[in-house]
Amino acid sequence: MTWLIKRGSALLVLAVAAITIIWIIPAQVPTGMDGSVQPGTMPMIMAWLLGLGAFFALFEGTSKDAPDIVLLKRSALFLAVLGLSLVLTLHVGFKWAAPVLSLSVMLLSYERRLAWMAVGAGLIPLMIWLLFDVFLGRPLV
Amino acid sequence: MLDLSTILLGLGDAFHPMVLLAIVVGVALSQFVGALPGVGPVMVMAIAIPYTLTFEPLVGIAFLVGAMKGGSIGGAIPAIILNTPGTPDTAMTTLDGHPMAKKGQAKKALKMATYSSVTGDAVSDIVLITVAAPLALFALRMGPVEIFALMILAFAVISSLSGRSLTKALMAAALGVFLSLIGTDPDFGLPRLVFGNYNLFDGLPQVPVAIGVLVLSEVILRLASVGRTSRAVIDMDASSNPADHGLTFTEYWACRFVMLRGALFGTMVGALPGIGSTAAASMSYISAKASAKDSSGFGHGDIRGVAAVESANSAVAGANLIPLLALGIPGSVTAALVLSAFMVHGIQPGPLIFEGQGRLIYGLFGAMLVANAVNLTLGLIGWRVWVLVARAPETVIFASAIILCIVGSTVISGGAFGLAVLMAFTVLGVFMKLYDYPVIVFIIAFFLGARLERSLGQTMSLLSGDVTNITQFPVAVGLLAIALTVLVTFLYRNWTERKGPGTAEV
Repeated sequence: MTWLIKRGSALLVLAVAAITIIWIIPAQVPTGMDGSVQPGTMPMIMAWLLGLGAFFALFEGTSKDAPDIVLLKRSALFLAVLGLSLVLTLHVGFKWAAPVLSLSVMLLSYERRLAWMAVGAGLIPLMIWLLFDVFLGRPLV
Repeated sequence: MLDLSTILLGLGDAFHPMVLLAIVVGVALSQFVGALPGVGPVMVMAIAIPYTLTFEPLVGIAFLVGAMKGGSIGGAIPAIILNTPGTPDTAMTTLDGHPMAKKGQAKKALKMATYSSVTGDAVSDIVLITVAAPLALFALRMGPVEIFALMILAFAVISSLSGRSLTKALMAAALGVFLSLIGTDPDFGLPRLVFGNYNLFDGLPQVPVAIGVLVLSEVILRLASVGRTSRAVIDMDASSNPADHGLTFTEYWACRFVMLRGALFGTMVGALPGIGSTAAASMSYISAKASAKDSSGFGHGDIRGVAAVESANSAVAGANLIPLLALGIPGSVTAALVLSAFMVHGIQPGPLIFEGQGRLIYGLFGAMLVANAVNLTLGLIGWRVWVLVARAPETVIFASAIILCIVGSTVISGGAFGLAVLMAFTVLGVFMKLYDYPVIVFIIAFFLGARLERSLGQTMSLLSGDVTNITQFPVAVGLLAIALTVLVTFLYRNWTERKGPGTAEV
């Protein structure tokens, strides 16, 4: 199990490289009629380099290869919040989604002081929205 | 040949109150915006272009020049304090700047970044003013074969940034180049790897990619590691030694060769259209590290690392104007924006501009020199403000940084596609950092990859498919020889360090 966690990234990259070489490049890269460098040449070289690198990385271990599980889980949590907030931004707009995102992030990072929460989730998003959307006329989605 | 009176009149125009005001506003805005993670000075320039129409040409162009210069100093501030570069140009400043901040030397790092940035910028401006035309002609002689060789040199240099694992650096570089190839093929004009999505025909937008991998991923990881005890984003008082908070002239002077070399790298790379400051900064950094008697501090908070990167990336800005003014070719996005400002005023940069618009051009040169002085003055004031901001709780700083990243991505790349790219590359950045893949190598490879392929195609055509024909291009052969030397030296050092006790890391 430890071996799997430590080498997880290399295995994943190896799988991605294999899928890229076997399926993605043949399906998504057209062939040029005549020329010095075909459209598929560089992508194929890079995919092979990626795959070979991942293969060698399977046998190259350092203590940094295994990330802290708690950090991994909390990173996934914050990424999920970010993803949901971006979807929310597209549906209700920046001016409503930004305070929600900011407040969620602060609550999840144990911020409980009302004054700072008001600054982070109220004042700063408002100032950014006023600057870009209102004064500069750059609509934020 | 211009007469002296035109030159003096032009330089005098730079001191007109309106021009001075435009420079101050441009530098101040750009430094401020550059210091906000995810929002760069390009946005300031792009937004300002229509407004510059209402001013005299020199006033509008002086504003843009100020904005162009202010960004690099602004971008270094979050790179040092938060480990999140304000602009992609300053990505490499994080390598030594943030470790210095963690050691309680944030103020020293910020001062060094300001001074070295202005030094590099000033050297490149002097080169621009004195030898713009001959240097542009030299740059013009750098054809596709030489550019390709230079790209190979840049990639050889990048290998030295590999950190603990050369294998992972290779993977990061391969992935960066691969992703830069998405879009329309340069030789045939055929879309590839686009999965039917027309947004990808122009390739992945660079700004959301850079923000996601470099900035937002770092913010997510820092948030994930926040504990229940409230703390500032960086402890400015971590060191009680007063020497850690200031920069002495001796320390500045000790870095003179590092800064000069950085300025020369930046000027040379900047004079070549389309290569960019990231390559110049990495070449300067590696060169400084290679030539140091004791290089063990690099990557752990060595002031020479900050000086090398900042002098090089700032020198690119001025040098980008060399091909623009002498040949009419913009060398970067910022130079293209300056070109558009010229054109909206009915001025066409090119070989004849010195004859037809001599006074304006020397006014521009004067404005560039004034902008350096303003950049230094405001930079030394500005970082004090950001040091105060950095004392706010990290929860508030990081929440605001996320919002600014979204804004930066939305304004520059627009809509759902830009946000989707931002999200995807944030996930990739978090994954890479968690598993110790060098994101710096990835982002440099991503920025250079498409140019590498284009140069390869042109080179193969010029060589008629026969690689041995490269002997007809002595400059390219020289550059390839340097690249080979760099690579062999690095591999040898890597091998000896691994054999010896205590493996080194970048």
